[in-house]
Amino acid sequence: MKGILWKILILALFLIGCYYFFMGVLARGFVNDNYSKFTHQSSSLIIGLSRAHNGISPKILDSILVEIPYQGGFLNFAFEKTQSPYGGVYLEAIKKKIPQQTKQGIFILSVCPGSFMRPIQLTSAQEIDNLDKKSLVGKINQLNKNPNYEYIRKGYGGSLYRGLIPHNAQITTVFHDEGWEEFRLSAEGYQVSKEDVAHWTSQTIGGYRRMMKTNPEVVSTYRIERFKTLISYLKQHGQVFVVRMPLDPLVLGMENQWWKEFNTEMTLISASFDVPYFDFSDAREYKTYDGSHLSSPYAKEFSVRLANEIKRYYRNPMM
Amino acid sequence: MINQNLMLFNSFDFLFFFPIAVFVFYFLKHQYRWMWLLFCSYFFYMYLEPMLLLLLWTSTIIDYFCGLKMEKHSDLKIRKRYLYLSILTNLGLLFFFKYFVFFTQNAVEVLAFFGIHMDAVAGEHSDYVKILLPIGISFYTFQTMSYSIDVYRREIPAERHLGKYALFVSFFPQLVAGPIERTKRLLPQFSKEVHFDADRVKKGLIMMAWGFFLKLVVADRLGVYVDDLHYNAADYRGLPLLIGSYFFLFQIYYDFSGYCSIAIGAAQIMGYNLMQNFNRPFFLNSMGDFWRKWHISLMKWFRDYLYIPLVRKFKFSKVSAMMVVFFFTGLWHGASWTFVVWGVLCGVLFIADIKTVPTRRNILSALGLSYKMKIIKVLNGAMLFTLIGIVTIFFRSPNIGQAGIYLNNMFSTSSSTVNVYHDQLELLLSLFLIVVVQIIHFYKGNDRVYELVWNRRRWVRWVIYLLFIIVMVLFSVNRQNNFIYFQF
Repeated sequence: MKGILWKILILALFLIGCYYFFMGVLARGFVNDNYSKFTHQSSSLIIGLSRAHNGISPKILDSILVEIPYQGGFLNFAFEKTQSPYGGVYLEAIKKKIPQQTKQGIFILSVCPGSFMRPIQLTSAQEIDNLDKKSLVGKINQLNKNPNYEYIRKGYGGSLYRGLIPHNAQITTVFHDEGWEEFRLSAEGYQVSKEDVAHWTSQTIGGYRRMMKTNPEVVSTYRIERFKTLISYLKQHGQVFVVRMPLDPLVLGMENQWWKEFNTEMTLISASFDVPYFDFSDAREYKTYDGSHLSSPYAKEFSVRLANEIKRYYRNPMM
Repeated sequence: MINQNLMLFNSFDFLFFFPIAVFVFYFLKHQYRWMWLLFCSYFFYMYLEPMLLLLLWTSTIIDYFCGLKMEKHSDLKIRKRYLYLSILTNLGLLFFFKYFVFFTQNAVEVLAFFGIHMDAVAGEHSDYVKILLPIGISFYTFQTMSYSIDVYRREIPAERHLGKYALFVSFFPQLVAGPIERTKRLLPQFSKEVHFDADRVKKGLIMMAWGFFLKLVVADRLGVYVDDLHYNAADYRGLPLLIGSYFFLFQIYYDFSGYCSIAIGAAQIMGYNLMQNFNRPFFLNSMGDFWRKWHISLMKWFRDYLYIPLVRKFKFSKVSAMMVVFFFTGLWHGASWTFVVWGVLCGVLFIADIKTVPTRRNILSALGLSYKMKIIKVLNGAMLFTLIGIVTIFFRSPNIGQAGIYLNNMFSTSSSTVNVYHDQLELLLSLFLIVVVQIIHFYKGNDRVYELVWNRRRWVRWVIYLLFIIVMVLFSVNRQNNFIYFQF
């Protein structure tokens, strides 16, 4: 028995050693689009769903906001819908991302109806939290580690051999270290056509319709309450801006149908916390590639505009 | 819904739990081992949700009690009464926890069709939709029912030792997803003294390692492709969807047979033999052949406790009995119309395959061909495999509508994107792995994979072990996915 135990021990140690060695190799290169969001804290954050994840460039904000007094080094801590709707789980994750001593951070809270929805069958806060705990921000406890082995174990979703071969970025998406996922309309050997955009937009609309039919969602008061808690928490660490991102008019029409008073509600919440609410949903000049997410040139333009609005607010908070 | 906090075989929790379970097992005297295993099994199950233990106990105690009573009484009527009590209890638990929501929702829809609206009672907000599906309930209720029926038929004596009987119901390697063991095979093993046997332990470990390989490297990799197709079925046309249907068949096979290899290996390490659940099912020459090799423990259960009684006692024709069996096979997998349709279509294929044999033979002989020719065997196998893959789309789809979209698009002109991974290497790797595993299964079967290492020189064995570990680490897909059959 002793002999076999020694053999098992040697093989187990070899397994653990290999595992951590190859995780380390992977972490030194490119892991995936969300990895850099889990490697460090940041005093200024972009928070929300995929529209913010795709649509706001931290670097551009930092480059324009240099003139105002804030603790820079923005991090885009927004995720796809299932990963980061407002709620207790996202709130706790955000708390971990901000250094305790932060007093002059800037926090951009992107909002859309999807940020506040819950599946119709989940009624209690506990059930909603349990759902959120399965998301990326819910299942990873170490949010500020580099290399982040816990992220690789739970959030990577691929194979470690990827660390051994050069990373070939997908043709049109570029992942930035500050958490921004840039979607380019053209890349080497590939051009997104008008037909592609029309097709993706119709897919988005069809997808929303199907979801509402087969897997309906309703507005969650629990998520709204946690959103308010988040604003009040972030206000202790700096200035909060509530932002509704630009989107395709057809998708906007659908959202406004689901939740007619959304803008009014956001205006009221923002006013009650004395934070500005910027509604860009009608800004038609910023084009999406799929009805919902801004493509690279427009995301850059929009980031400039957002930064300028923030600057203007700092100069004249009564605007 | 299923609680996600279960102790998966492929979780770090199990990596701590299992060595402790084995280590203590071998240090205990024989007479205390059943207690330890029972404790481990209950701990394993409680890890998911302590309250679910009550169901396991209910099923265990009632069947134990009914078994003793059936043995005691020679009066057939009394014995039958206890048999009904056992069956009703098990089916009642199964019905309430697995099928109640399904039947209620369908009843509400049928009533609504006739203008009777019951939304207030059975709407989406009512509590009945939140019934937790106790993991493994379909497996252990079938296992305990088989015990009661066998005792009733006087094929086995009733077990007098409540503890060992409870262990038979809850033995942790096979508790949550089988194989569905028979009393005759498993229960007596708990009374036999097990001595430490290094060779047996090694074989068990190799089987477990092979199971992990099938799950983490192959099944989960194919799952990435299949999941994308099913989430976005509307975006694809033709070939990728057909490849997806093949991939799903391989995925579910490697996932479930991987689970079974781990279960069999884990039991083997502790000196217990579990039955094989698969026997190279994709090397098939007829639908009957496939079902004899696929999920063997379930199909044997249905054969012995449903098909044979239907034909012999209730005088069903073989065809109608077979359709009943496949209907219940579908329903056993899940409370959804997709599983029912899948089961019924499998039954239709099974019967059509048998009934069309003479016609196909005639056509072949008219063409100067024969079923004995290798090429015909291969083509026949490929055709059957394709048909199974197509009907299994229902198994994977979340609802009938989605399955319809998938099937409709599959028979449309192919889209330009065939590789759903968007990564040539992953597609090639998937195909390579499918072929390699099929070759290994062809030569070694599902149960003798350890022979790849056995009786080789020590240094060769060590090289194989170390390379295997490196391959596992590099090529496992880090998704921490549940085994597919855990949901049943």
